[in-house]
Amino acid sequence: MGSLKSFIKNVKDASTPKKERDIINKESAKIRTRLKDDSVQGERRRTYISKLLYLYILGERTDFGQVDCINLLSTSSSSVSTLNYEGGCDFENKRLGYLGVILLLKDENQELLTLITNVISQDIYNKYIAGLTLECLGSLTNKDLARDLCSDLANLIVKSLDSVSSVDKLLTNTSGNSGYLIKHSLSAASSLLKQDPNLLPHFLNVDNGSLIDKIFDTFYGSDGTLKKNGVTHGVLLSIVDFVVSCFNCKNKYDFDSNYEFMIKRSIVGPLTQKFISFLNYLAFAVKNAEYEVNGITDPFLQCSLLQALRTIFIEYRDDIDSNTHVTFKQTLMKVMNVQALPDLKTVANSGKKSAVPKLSLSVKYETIRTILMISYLDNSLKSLAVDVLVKFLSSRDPNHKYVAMKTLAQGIQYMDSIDEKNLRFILACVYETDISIKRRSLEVIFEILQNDKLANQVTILNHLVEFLSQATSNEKELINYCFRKLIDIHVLETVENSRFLTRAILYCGFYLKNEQIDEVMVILNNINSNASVSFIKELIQLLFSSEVSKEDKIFFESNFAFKVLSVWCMGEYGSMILESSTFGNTQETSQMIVDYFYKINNDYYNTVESDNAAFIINYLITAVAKVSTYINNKSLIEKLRQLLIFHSNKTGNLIISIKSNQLLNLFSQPVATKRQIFAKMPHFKAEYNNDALTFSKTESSLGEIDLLTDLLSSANVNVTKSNQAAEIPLNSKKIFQNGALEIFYHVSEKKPILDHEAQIQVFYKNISGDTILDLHSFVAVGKTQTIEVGHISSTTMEPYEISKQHFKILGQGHLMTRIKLQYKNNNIPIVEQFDYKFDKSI
Amino acid sequence: MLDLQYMILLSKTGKVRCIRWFGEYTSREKQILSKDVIDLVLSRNTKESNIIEYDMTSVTSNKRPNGHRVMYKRYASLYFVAGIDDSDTCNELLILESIHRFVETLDKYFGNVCELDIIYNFQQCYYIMLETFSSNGNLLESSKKKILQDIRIMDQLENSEGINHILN
Repeated sequence: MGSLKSFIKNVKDASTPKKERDIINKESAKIRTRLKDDSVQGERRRTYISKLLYLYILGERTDFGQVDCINLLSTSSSSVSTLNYEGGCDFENKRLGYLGVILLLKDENQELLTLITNVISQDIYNKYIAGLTLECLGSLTNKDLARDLCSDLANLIVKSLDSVSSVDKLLTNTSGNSGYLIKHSLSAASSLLKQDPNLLPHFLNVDNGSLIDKIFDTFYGSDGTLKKNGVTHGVLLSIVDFVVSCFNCKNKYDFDSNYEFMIKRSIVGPLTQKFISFLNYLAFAVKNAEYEVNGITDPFLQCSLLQALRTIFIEYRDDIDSNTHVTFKQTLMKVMNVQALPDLKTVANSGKKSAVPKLSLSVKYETIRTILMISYLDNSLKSLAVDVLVKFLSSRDPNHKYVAMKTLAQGIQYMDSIDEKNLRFILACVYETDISIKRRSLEVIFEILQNDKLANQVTILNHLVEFLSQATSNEKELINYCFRKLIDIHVLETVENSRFLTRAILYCGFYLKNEQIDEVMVILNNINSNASVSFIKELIQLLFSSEVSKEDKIFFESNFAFKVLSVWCMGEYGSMILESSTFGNTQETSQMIVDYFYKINNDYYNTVESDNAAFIINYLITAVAKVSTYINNKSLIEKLRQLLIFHSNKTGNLIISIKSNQLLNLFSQPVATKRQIFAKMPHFKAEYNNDALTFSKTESSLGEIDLLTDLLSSANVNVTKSNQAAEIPLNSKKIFQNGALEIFYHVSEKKPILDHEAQIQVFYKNISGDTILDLHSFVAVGKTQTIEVGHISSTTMEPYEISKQHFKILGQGHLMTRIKLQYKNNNIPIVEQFDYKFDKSI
Repeated sequence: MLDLQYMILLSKTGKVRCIRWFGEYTSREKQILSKDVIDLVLSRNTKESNIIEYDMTSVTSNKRPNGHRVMYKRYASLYFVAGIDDSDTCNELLILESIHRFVETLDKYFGNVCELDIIYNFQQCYYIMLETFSSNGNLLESSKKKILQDIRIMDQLENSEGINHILN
């Protein structure tokens, strides 16, 4: 078997995927057998493990080697374990072993983790291995591991800190080592807290309450100096990481007020001012090659500090004195203005290693977001922040554009005005090649649209419609987003803007879902009549006018939503269309409408089984009936009747044929009655229920309309779910019976989450002829067990009714219960007691 | 805070050269996610930003936020890809800078690093990653010098051990 290098080379040089596969399979099988052989040790074993890791990178199965990695790192770990220990004869094994475990066991076999608990608790005291060990603990930790090793970890931090303060005065070098240990331990501690927030007191209890503060003071001065040789910003990074994890504990769990007190006492109190000063120092620090990124000193630490401070100032606003509030505000201001933005247009983005982006905006970006997120900061500061943000837009680096757009959506509300140039910039961003920037810029545009002091609505709507008209089918999602947004913000419901609604339907119609079409109808129905008139005019103009070009006509004809809406509008607004002189004389218009109906019918009647066709035909037949009341020409009315007859005889879709039949019945009524029945719909209120749209009337002017809602709502059937009564599962066991009650136990078949736990459902059934009142149960279990008793679902039971209760038994031993029951039957109090033994143990 | 969920080093041919998961995912989620990420990253052109918005609903149940960003940077033939969940704390620009910081460290360690260095010395690459990013996906050390110093000491230990073995 060859070296790792030759294995990698063979895989890399394989000429076909099949050959590559063969090589990998062969090697994988070899590794599997060799690892089983205990005589293979040392260098050779390490080679196999390395190959195993390479298999992991290739995405191959590696679970067979998990135990071998653990074996590798546990070899001879009983050797020296002091803080000054720097490796030993097993360093090589351990280094590789830990790497293997970190990679292979992440989110995998949880049971194997118990095997490494001991090793970790020893290895964290070994200097260089400790780093890897702590990383391993951090990445793999689960709740058990976290609880077992938490106090060890806290001890380690205290010890390392002590060694710095005692020894370091003489040996400056060790501080670097202790710093290294503290850095790794704190980051592991953050991971443990993520697993179990209840571990917080280990790090912030009375004994080591000021631990974090002490670490800070040992290594750093608040003026930004590093107090010890060999100390880097790493320790502070992990302090901030830990602090933020403590805050996150609070968000994730219902917090004990005691924890809140600990956080205030150990973190917020002592550290806030120090963090601010350190941030101040970093923002103006002299360039330091070690930490600099494009002229900014350690943006990583600056951003971390900003994030921690942000949480402090949002969550603990009242615990901070006013002086600190002022300094923080000043600091934010300074950090935001520290480096005047150069002309961003010259900053290009390039993937090449040599051409590093010349500008680091991350800290500025973080500051701006911090200002926007702390709600109580004054608006002048906020609008200043947004002004700086807008400058990001002109950068040629698309990443800057993206973050600016993303944040602007929240920032727009603080703007008083937006200058022409920037507005053009934002509007132009919808034509970017990057879909994320596009989407974000649309978000911003809609924000501006809702804020009419910033820009002229019509200008923006013009741009939007222009964008929609050019959008391709690849941008389906975006188009849909735009349309939904346009509808949601109710911007199109005025007379002036109704023409944009026509356009929006025209360009988005291809992508709309049927429910959305329904929504548009509701809107049209509810807007004031002037606006709807101008909408109809636009629509009919597009449909019937000879001025519209042929291409456009073809375009409408393939647009489903447009067709449905025009059919519906002709039905609802038929009288208006016919009376209005703008569309030529009444006779011609009636002819055109009837022709249009026939055309739609021809397109869809064949496929009436499909959803879309049924949807449009459904509207078509209603419209046919409605229009018939306004047309005077007898032959045209007859044509409409034929259309209904045609559908009433078709059997493809039962709902449609029933509806046509009903409409036909109404068709023969006198015109006056018909007009009343087929009057325009009243205002609707849309209700969302079980994901289906149902309409309910808000005002009913005519009695006949009730009848219509019945007829017309055929497509929207509202299903109400009846509350299902409790039922006794089939495999339950009857454990007790007397004249009035039957009791069943049902043990859930699902494997319980924990061992030594039983989940039991108890069902009480009333078999007497009378109501059972005030049912109470008292349950006892064996000495080695505890029981949690749930509520009885109902303490009053009608005859043959069933009540449920839940028992959870924890502990070990044979499972048995003693139940005492109290209830009233026929108003006579009854007490019963019985034992039941299960045939299994837990 | 970076809050990385994973980091993948990817060749331009779509081969994974190094991969580490920080966030919690099941094996199935890892599989789908890494496949999608590779496709997404390789299909980008240079005019687009280095930030891809990705919807997690296709990958995982609703236990985590659906918004997800895939961020990448290309260096010669190698893509460095990092994933983050959408949250108040994610700073896209900072993540790109941290990727660059990691690459600089690799560059210093290997001396003008190229893809082959990483392919053949993936363990070394992992060791550097372990010193640069902490187990919860945050930056552990912002000083390149310190990282390299620590790694070198460990390398020496390893080598001297090898020599000791031979001498014994």
